[in-house]
Amino acid sequence: MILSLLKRRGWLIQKHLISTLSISFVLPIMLHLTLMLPVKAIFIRSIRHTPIELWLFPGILFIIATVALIPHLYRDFFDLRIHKKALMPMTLTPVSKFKLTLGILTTAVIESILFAMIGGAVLTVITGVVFPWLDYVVMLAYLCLFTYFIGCIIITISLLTEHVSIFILLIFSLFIFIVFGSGIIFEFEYYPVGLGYLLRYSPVGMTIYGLRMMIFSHLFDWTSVIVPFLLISIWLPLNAEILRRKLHQ
Amino acid sequence: MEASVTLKKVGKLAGDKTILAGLTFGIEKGSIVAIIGDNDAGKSTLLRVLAGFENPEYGQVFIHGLDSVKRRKEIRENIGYVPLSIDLDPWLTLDQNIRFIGLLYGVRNAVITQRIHSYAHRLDMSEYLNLKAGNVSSGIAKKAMIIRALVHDPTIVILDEPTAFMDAQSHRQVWDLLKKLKSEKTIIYVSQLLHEVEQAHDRILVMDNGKIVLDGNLDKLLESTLEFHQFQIEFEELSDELYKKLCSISTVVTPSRMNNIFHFYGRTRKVLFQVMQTAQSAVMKDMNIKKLGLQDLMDSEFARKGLDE
Repeated sequence: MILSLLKRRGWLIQKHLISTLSISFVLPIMLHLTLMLPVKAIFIRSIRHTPIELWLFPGILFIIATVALIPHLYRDFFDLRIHKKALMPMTLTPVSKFKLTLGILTTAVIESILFAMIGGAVLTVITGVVFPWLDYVVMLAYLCLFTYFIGCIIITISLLTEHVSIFILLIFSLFIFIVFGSGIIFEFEYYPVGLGYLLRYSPVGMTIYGLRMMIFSHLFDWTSVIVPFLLISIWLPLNAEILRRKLHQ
Repeated sequence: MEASVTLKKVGKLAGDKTILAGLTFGIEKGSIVAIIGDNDAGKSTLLRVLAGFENPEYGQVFIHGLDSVKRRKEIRENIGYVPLSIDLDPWLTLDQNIRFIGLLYGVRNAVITQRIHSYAHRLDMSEYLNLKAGNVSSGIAKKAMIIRALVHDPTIVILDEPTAFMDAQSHRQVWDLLKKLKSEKTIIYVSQLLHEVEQAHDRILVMDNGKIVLDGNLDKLLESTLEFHQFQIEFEELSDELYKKLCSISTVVTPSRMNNIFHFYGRTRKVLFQVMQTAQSAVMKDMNIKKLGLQDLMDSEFARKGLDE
């Protein structure tokens, strides 16, 4: 089933190959110019004395992955559902709603990770930032966890909204939270104590924090893996149930 | 005969409105069943419930003896559904649209290729397979949807207006294909084209307000109308006084007028002579007599009033 969905995704990307590739190269350059450079001018090092470019690098990959995730899930769970297109015949196949939701999310995660990997390569060329290869593996694992979690939120928004304006509003709010409220740019210590504590222990902030702890302090924080994993395990069947109810099946 | 589909008191509601009102009937294996009725009669909803696209609020649907809710997975492998509106992915080609669904059903790629080419050849649409679904006409897209519904070789094919948006040639090709498939598959369809229904059916279900009001083949449905004829007389001038006089003839059934044309039904041809006698002072320009067909049966006013005098 996953292979069928991947094949379909491949066909769709083929149709927009040039624009997809262009965006995957332009996006990291844009993020470097508009985010990394100004932040570097303000903070030279992080609170824990990590050079700021190194410190920002994993967060930028998370932003790129989120940007790649949104259109994919929007199309499959909002656009095709609202316009009664290809999602309907998919739901009539013997594939369960849970497997279908998981399958579409997995293809979106794979695609967004590929996007992030291209972005990472471009950023490495621009900034000259290089990590030990094991750190890239850790980044990939956390990125996977992060995109699955964010994907669950995007699917819920896509399924529960009926109007594109509401969808855009909610997605923008989520995106702003990811960029400014998850510790990607500003460390939690810069926020008021209570708020910083809340953001640090939000599932999104927790994942990014856990990744940085692992890469820069070589400390493994179990909660940063277990909590998002548990939430994903609960959220996925919930999304499948929302899909079933939305389609009255 | 073995039942392919069985409904037991199947009901569907939309708020306070009853869409399907406790339907109970069976459909024999290997038959072509046409469902007709006025707009909003519940035809498409019935198809969606049969296809598993929507669940009924109450009652049960059995497909080959399996409960459609409890044995959903097995049932879905047996059903091919073609909805009324085009639901292909506009960014994919017709071939990719069909192939993707075939793969989700677990059909091997080589078998899918063979089936796509075989059906596309029969429907004369091989040249369109590599075009994007968003770039082809609705008739071609509908043909692709029919192939998509057949690609996993279902035993029951459910079609909502199978020839919608199609030209005359495509219309024939689709029905040639469906009639050939009849021996191995049960075909259930909804159509507003009554001449199409008259040509292609083993059984016709007439729906009204979520209920089956008539059930049988064409001859059976028209049984009550067999002695009836439809008459149409065009006068040079049909005055109100003459129209009233003609309407008052006891053997004239459901009279109506359109300008100078007097339209009515009658059980025997004798009624015509009574009308002509009453209207002897008026000049008649044209006259038309025909036996009743499905269209007359479906005439809403006729259906409501019935044929009895």
